[in-house]
Amino acid sequence: MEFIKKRIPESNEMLMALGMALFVVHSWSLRMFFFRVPSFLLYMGVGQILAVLAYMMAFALLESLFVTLILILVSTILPSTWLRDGLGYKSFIIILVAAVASYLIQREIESTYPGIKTLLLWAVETGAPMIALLLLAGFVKPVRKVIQFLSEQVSVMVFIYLPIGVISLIVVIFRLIF
Amino acid sequence: MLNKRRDFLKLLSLVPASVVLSPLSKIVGEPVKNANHIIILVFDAWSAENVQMFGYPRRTMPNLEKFSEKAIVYHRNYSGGNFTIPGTASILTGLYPWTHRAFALGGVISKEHSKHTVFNVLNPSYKTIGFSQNVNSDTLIFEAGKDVEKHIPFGSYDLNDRITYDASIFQNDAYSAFLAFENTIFNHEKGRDGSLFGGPIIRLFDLENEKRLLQKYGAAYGGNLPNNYEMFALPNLVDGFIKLLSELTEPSLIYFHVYPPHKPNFPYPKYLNKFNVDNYKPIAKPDHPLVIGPKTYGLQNDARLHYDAFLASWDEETGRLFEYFETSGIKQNSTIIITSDHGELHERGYYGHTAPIHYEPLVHVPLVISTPGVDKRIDVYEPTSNIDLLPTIAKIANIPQPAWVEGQVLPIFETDTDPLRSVFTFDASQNSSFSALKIYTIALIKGNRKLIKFVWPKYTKLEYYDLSTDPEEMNNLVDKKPSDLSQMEEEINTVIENANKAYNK
Repeated sequence: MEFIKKRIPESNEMLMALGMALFVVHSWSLRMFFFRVPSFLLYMGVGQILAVLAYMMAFALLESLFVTLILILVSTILPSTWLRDGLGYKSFIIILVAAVASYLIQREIESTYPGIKTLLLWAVETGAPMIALLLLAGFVKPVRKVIQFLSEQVSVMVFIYLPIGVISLIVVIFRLIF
Repeated sequence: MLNKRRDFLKLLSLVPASVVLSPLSKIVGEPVKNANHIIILVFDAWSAENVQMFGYPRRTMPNLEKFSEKAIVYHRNYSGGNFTIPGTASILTGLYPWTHRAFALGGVISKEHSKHTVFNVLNPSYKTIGFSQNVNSDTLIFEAGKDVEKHIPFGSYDLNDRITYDASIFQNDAYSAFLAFENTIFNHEKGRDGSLFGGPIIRLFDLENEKRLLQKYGAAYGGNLPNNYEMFALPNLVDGFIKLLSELTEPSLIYFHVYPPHKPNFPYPKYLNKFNVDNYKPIAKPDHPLVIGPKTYGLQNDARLHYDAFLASWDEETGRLFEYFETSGIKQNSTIIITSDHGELHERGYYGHTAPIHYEPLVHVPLVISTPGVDKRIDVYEPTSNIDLLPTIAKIANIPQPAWVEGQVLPIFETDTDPLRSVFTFDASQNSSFSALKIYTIALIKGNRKLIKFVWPKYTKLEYYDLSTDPEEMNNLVDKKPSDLSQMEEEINTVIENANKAYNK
């Protein structure tokens, strides 16, 4: 038990990681939702639109938790200096780069499977800047300070998106049962 | 032969419908009441204008022709709308789109009419079964709720499983789940996903799976596979339906809505090769102002070729189904209705069906009904509508006509019908379902005359055609002020005014 406790990152670091995941995933989800709202208004009442929003926010919550859990899990496996120590700012970098990569990759995956070569290329194109930024932040203190500051600011999102996600999840469960 | 497209229809349309009908209805007599099953078989995006039986030069559906040898063939049947939602809602409710209000892409039937469906009318006299391979009509089946005793999940006959909302966990809230998962969280390769990380990962898995399916099954379809959101093989649909029919133990109403011949059209290559060399050249028609990004004549014809070949491929499979109807005895003791939710257009700078241009290929849909007592082909040339199906089914089932229905019992099932009745088709896909109709296309068909009214931003126009002399709808006669033009326009205006009354208060 003590061993596991030692491996798990500090709670405030995990909270910062969760904050970043919630911020990125929910913001993107909301962007998509508001993109759809004008067409929804043609055939859906407010209640129905809110129900769709509840599904999206509930899914975003689960997606954010999954991303955070993956980061925590990896940080417990890898040497502590790689990810566990400073998980907050490191998560900020990892999630941000992954989000940009995901945004760009979505455009490329339209109707055909891209193939292993392309997937490997994307992995390198995503991994290289991610590692570079992590090293930069690790070795250059002012950079790390800036990222840490940003990460702390974003962690506030936990107190906004987490309740929204939880309420949405309850709404969805309620709708599915009744 | 091929250059004289629809010539025989022109001739037939000159014959008053009542002359054709009266003697035939006497020959046939009354269809048998209380048939065992009532089967509504809907082929999605199926235009009558691409079937030889209805005047098309290419013989795309020989098995349907054979099936129709002992059936009633309605030659001038119209869909309620020009895409799945209004078209299907009109079949299910017997109402025009301005009444059921399911006319937006993604919309559903209004609360007022959501339980006014054929399922509700026939339940509990019949076991009610619903299936749709089109997600949009599937949501309408979900909307019917418990009136559908057995709702067969969307992907039951597909090769892969990409759809989320049809999972059993979402049965109580399928419409919300559909809009959230299929339209926003996962976009199924149409634009970006609402799920930032999950979306692309799921896409990769799905596409990899599809690649394997194409390798396994694609050769039969020229390297592709028919698909809606999921991939499917044509024989599986027929096999699935036959299995369903074979398991019926009590009189049932079965609504079975299949995706073919909806695009993408991936036919068996032999039909592409066959039609590619038949020298059929459709008339070139001018681009329509409401068509965005017009397609060339060549592109339209290529799409038409694939559509026709896909129809022929689907007909090859349905041949087995029609044979099963015969050998199982279902055809002898059940009513089988074959139609479509809307047509498909390959002209005027367009191919597809969501453009609001209600020319014949888009709204003229096949209707073939086999019912006990009909032992020869009966051709009906009166204009009819898919909103007539519900009242006709109610009559066949010996159930009183619902008060809310707007359709009428179809000719043959009713002897005293008006050949000059008004039949409408309607599109208001850009108009809110909750407000007065301000943006729409409406077509009124009365005998051989057709008036189309376009009311769109920066485009308001009337088009009047005499289908007996101009079945291709090339000569707009509005400027010649035909005698019944003002009367038909008045009728359209009255329909819209009445529909708007509740919203203008």
